[in-house]
Amino acid sequence: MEAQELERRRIAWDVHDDSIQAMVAVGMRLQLLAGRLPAEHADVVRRLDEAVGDAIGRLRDLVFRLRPPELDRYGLVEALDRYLADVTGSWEVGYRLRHALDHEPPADAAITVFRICQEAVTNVHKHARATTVEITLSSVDNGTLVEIADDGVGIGELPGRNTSEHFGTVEMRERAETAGGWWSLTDRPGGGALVQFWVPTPVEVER
Amino acid sequence: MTPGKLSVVISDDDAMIRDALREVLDAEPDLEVVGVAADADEAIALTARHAPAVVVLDVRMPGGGGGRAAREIRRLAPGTGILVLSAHADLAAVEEVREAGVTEYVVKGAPNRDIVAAVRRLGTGRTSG
Repeated sequence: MEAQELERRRIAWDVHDDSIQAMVAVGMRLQLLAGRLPAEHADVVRRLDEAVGDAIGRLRDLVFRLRPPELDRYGLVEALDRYLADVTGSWEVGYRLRHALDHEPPADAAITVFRICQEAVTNVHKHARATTVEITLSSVDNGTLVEIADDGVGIGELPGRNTSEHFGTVEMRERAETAGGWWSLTDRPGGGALVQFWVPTPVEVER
Repeated sequence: MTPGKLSVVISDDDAMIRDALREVLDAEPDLEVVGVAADADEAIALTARHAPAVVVLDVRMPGGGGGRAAREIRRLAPGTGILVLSAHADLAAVEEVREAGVTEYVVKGAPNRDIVAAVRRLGTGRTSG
């Protein structure tokens, strides 16, 4: 888990420090060029600059997804809330986050919960055509039970679906099972999809 | 330095950004880049030497970053306006330069005209140049 997080952080910084900087420099030069060209050519270059700007935005989203969630600074629920507030704003998806945790999960388990939530919510954005996603965290059986419910099209409606292969479901399931828990994806009776998972989050003994 | 122009020192550890920034600022008739630095030490030394109207600091640079450079420049060249260029993920670093007294910063990827306008705002509000 730690090695994986370190690798993600390294990739995030590489993209941040190298790829994005290069694109920013290209954008600056395109704007300069647009200012020196006659109007009919300048428009083409301006559109190119806009495309570069969009690409920078996408790379920044990637960095944001890859970087560590600052769980030690904010705790699981607040880190999740901050993440959801950031991403759902631009996705035009509303979210509700409810929690009834009786203690902060240990660091490893908190990362597992955060990353699975992140993947599940990204899937809702990409595939579900939902307007709202509800995330509920509760303390159950000496662990944390998480439910991510959306009001989108549901898994049954997706063309060519094979949920065992698609949508990062393998990664989510593996993360939960590696942590000693379980994971499932089902259709909700009233429409939309429901991700549920549980991971053990025992109270850490103070040393 | 050319009389009547606002002198500017720029710094960034990324050569592509450095070169593009220099071209953007030099393309303006009222601005002149008088020094180009690749790290905090160079930025401090060039600013102390030229006492430019404005120094543009990358928030993350070798040698202590924009935070250290801003603190030193405040002390060595109090008449120089400081503009910080930041990236989205640098909120903690931006906080550090803010504590060093920097009030103007532009996010990398902002339109060139925003950078130029910030340099002019800082440069015309100062006595040196």
